[in-house]
Amino acid sequence: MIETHELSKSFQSYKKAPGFSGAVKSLFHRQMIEKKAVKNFNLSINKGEIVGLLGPNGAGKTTLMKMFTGIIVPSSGKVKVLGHHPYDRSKEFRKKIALVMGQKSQLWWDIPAMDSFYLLQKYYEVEDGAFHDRIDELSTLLDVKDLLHIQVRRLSLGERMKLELMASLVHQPEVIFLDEPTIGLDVMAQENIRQFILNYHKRHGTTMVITSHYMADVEALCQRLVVVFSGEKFFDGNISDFSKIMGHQKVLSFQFKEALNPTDPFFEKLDVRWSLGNKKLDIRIPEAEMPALASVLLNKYPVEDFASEKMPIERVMQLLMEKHSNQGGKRI
Amino acid sequence: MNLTSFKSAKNYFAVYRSFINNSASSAMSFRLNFFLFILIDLSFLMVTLGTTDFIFNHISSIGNWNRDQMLFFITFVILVDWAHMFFLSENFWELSILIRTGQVDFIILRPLSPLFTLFFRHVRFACIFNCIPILSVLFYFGSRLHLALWQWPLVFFLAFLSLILMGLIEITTAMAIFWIQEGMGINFLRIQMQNISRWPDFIYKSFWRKIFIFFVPLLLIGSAPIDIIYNKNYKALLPMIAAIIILSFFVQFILARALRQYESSSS
Repeated sequence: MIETHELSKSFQSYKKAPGFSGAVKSLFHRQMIEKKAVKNFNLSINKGEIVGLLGPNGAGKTTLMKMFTGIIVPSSGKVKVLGHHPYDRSKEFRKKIALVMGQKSQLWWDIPAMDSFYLLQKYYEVEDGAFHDRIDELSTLLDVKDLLHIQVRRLSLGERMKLELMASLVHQPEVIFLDEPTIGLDVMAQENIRQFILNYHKRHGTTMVITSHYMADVEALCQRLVVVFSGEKFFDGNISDFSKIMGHQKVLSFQFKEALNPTDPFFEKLDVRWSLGNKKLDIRIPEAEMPALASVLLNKYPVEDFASEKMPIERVMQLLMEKHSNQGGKRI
Repeated sequence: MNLTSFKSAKNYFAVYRSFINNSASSAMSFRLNFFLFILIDLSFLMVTLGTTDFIFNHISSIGNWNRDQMLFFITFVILVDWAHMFFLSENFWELSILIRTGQVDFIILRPLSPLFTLFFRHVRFACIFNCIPILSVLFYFGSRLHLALWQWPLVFFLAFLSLILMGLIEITTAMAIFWIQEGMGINFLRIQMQNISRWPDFIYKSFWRKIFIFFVPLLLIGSAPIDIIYNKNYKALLPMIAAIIILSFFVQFILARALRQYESSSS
């Protein structure tokens, strides 16, 4: 359904020195910089999958989405979506896909969303009956019936995002690209959007590609995870395998009755994180060593409470990012 | 016309009707601005005609044209300008913002020609009422020039061709915004080009006349149709049609290149 082969994209920009003199210099001479946003990316996504593209800012996730949808043309390599070259922008292709961007709106700002939906109905030649059924279904699921006739600019971010999702589904696309659909939303709104996406996928089996900064999005929505660093694919696999990527490790959390000394030599060789004024300690440790370490700590220090959990995906990502930047952006 | 092209044309009309509806809803949601636009356009009509009338209080002709001929010409050009303002103008002003904010992303994703979705998306609805005074003035000076009844459909057909020509010249020019990004310079260039087209060709020296007929065919917008109406010089239709055909291909060529190098703003 989506295939890429050695897909790459470079952008050119220029360096400008600060201030007025920098502006004048750049008017006559520009030091051009080429940034490789995506490098030799290979990916294959099957029909009906929900795939999460995960990575830090500037990793190239959105650039990939823009190449998948045909908004930008790759510098080299191949990309095929639903059997089409997206950058040809054929009418058939554009009718089969949808894009939602958390930071850009496709709705007309000064008029109610319903007017934008009518326009989308005409764009995609959706029959009247089917259109009204879909609007009814989607607005009920998203609980936005009362918002359809209010000017978009008067709505909250969360409300607008729900309507953005509706706008992308009016023509019942075969593939939906969701670029950070929950960005900037409060926890409740994020949860609502996630639930809606999951329900919609269950009902229609639509293929979805999602980028997000929020691990909760990926954990809740995606069966498969693709991690991108500096435009390169770092990990591609099942989400449950991802947490094992740093080895079979666990996080051991201790709450102490009093603050401890973090410079205590006992902690020197351990991967620790202190919080609550040194009264709380998280230790990342191989699973096999956990019982022995727990026993020592319980005997040696005034432990009030303790717990162990598998490495949260958020922590795995953070460690990977730290490791990646320590190695000067080289592939891990 | 086969069934597919008929369906396609129907689709374009349906979308265009929605564009008009949305533009009207949007424009009318700002009531004061809506009425302000009507007043500004009316004052433009009055100032332009008043200035020309004032000049003719002191001279008897400009070139070979008397007061009525000159005022009919100017009103004809204002009619074309009105149609341009109503159907196209807003889109040129918006293009740079759309490109810089990445809103073009959604526009080019729609399953219709990007030329249509980029340049016909907005109409300036507040202009609509001003066609009444413009048409009234046109009919008035037309009657003073004793235009025959059969000539009126020709006047409107020529105004339509002029609009297409003006639109194509401006779309070609505006496409440069895809490379330049900032649209202010290009939009002021467009306004200067409109100023050039608002005067009869005989006021320009031979060199500039050739430039503005053969290179940037601005003088075909007003002067060629009036030549046809006043002098029945139907041969003047040929350069107009030729310019429209050449520019139609050129616009498609430039648009394809513009979209190919469009990088979209990061989000």
